[in-house]
Amino acid sequence: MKPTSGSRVDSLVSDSDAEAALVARVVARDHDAFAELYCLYRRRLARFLGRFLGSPQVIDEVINDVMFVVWQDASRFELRSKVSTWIFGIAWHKALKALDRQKRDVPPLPSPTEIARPDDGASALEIREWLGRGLDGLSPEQRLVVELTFFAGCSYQEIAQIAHCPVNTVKTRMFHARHRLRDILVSLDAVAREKTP
Amino acid sequence: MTSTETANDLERRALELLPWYVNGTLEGDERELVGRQVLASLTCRKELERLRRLHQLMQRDDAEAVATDREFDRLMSRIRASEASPQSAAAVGRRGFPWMPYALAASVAASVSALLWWGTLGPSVPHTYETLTNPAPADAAGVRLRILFAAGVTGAEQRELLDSHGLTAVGPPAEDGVVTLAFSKDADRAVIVAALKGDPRIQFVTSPPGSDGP
Repeated sequence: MKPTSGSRVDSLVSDSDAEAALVARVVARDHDAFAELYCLYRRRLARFLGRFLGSPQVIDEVINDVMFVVWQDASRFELRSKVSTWIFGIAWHKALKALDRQKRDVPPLPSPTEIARPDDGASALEIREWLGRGLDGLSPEQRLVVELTFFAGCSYQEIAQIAHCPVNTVKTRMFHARHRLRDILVSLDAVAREKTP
Repeated sequence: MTSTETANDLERRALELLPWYVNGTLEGDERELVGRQVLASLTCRKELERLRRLHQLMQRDDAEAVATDREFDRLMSRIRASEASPQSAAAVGRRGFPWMPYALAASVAASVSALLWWGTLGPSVPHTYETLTNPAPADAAGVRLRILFAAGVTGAEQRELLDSHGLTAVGPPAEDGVVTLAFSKDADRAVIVAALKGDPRIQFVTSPPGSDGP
């Protein structure tokens, strides 16, 4: 079976039971089930990893690594967590390794407070780019918490599972991320209000 | 929430939990607490508004169109290669995968089937074959390729496939069903290997270690 663009690909909140059933079939080495799981996660992983890793080639490599682990370790998956929590956890682990490799080549990022607020006439795209530059100034751990909360819609308990840390650490990282983004959030309030109907 | 918590404590807790109130994952008492504080506290309401805007902006879909098929094919090739590798099989076995007995049974069945097929081949060839675990014998000149047929491919189909590419089996299949093959003289090895890699009847194609094959 070849992966195809499924209608569920765009869904951030997926059907946990259906995904768990797919993983059970992957454990039985069902290639069709694996292709379906790949379809479900390919785009979501690309979006998630794209926030941390710039190069599309690196993102492709990391997705390949993640899904390879999913295939190999499917039998280790325990139903105590959601499939998405398990897969995003693998993705985060692989992303950290890729970030380590990239570290030497990446110039220091500007502090969020050094990023000028876009003009009042800025387009929605320009506002998003501005926000993206602000998020780039967070540490990877802080950004993970912000991305999983606002992009992937995870609870703080799920984030703790993905990041392998206590829930209080998740809350602390979110606190510091919001503190670093404070100026942006305040400006966002005004700028986004002009652009959001 | 406890009776000793002050209004400031409650507001601080609510502010801390606001991101997950915004994304809808907060439940029970915590959700109620934040809901009450949003009504009671201007600070909470302002922060809620900001985080909601942040949430809206971060929900955008900015993923590039991706070559899913190509990437999936690459992944499956990697998986097949890893499964055909004895080191990988041993590693998998160490992890105690529950399907290993079935996989081993299938492997044995494939070997028996391949051995039966071997017995139906035409003129015998010298036993200069190699296995995956033993180095190639010194007189293995001409050996260039190892393949693993996909499950369900019959002996007749295997023979037809090898004949069509001028390939000759150098010995009986290895324990895991891998067959070592020799190219015919003047064969365009790159073309043959490319054709085999694209053939659904072939699960795995590689060159023996130390050979100058593709």
